[in-house]
Amino acid sequence: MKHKILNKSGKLLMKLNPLKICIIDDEDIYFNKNMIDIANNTGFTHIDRYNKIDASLFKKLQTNPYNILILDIKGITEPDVAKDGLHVATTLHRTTDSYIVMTSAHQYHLNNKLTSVDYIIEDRLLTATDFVDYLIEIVNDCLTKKVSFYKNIGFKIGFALMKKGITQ
Amino acid sequence: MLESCKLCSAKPCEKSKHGVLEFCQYGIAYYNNNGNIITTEERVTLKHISQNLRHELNKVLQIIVTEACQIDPTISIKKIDINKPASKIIGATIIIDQFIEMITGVNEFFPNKNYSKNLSKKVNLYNILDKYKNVYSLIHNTRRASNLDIKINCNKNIDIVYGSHIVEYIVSILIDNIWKYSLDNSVPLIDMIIKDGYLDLIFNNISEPIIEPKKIFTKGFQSTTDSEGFGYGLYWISLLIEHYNSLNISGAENHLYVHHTQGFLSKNKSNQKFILGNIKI
Repeated sequence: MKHKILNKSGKLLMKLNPLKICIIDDEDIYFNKNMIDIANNTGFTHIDRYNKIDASLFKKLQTNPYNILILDIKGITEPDVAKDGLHVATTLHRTTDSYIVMTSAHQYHLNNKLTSVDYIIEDRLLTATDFVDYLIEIVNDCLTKKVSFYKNIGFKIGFALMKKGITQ
Repeated sequence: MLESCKLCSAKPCEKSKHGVLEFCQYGIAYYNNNGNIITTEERVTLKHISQNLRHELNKVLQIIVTEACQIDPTISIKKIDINKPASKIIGATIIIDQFIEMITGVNEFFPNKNYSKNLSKKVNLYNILDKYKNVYSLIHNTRRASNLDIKINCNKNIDIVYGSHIVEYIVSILIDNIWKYSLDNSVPLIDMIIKDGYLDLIFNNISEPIIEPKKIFTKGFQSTTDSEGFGYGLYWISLLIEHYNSLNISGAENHLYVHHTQGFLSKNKSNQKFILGNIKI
């Protein structure tokens, strides 16, 4: 009973002051609707999902940056915008405060030459639960590294309550 | 250019006469047009073929995983529950994924040290052992063991801290081998010895005696002609260990290794011990 109350109030606070998350992957099946629905139900209510970065989205990512950006590497950019997801990551890491996550089905894409990546999702296959587990880990890290102490207080409290509700 | 053409020193194609259409020992068709050798095979490397395989099949596997989630939204790739049908579907996709990885070779395993970000990923050891114990129990046939009661004597709080992706694959092969070669109704034991910052994992099982134990890490070796598989798994382990050690910056004394010993219990029964030593924790 106690964990349900914690969970519910946690989710409410997360919803009132959400972290903005954006996912860009050219394949619909990765980070699919089912996963995002379950993530929404867990309290991550602001998740935008795109297949490709065109000029206007690229501009938006720079002028109105998301808190967390999850990027695939290949096939997500228009040629006039950037070479690939890694290129986008480098630019946004330099010009914004976005917490940048990279993902790829190929381990060899996930190299460490780019220091502009905050987190790597290595698992190639994900269930909705695995995705939410990753999100919790990513948000945790993001709140520590990229969100200043006074910002998103409501979300932080809500997130802490939600996690407590899960573990109890 | 095809890998086999790079390796081929005999070059029968170059020695052929004008107008000859022939196959070389690697099965590649060639045609000599006035000294200009035309091969009818596509000039694609094995690396490219394998990368394409991962690229094309991964999304199909993800479709299967997603559909399984519709049946049971609580399932996870990290833990397989053999009492849940949807989780068993996930287990089956993991086996396919492992095979793709074997075909793609070490290209999928951090080709060089620039990949250090992923090499230091922590993975819980017990969860891996438990996962593959269940994954490989899904396959049933007359050539695999039945009714095994695999015991895991391992601290649940230990993480593998270096090259966990490679270690996980090696562990999965050793557990699959337990299911392939153990005697029915036996009780294999996965044990461990903790050293300073390292750990040895010991896979014990009872099987029929291996006649030529020194050869088991040789490509394509099979203990008996009717055994399961192609005898490639242990060879693949030796390749992965070689690769792991080439990436590992610590000294030779801390190199990952695999070691096998056999103790005869009776004419048809032996105790097999595979030690995966120097896992960084």
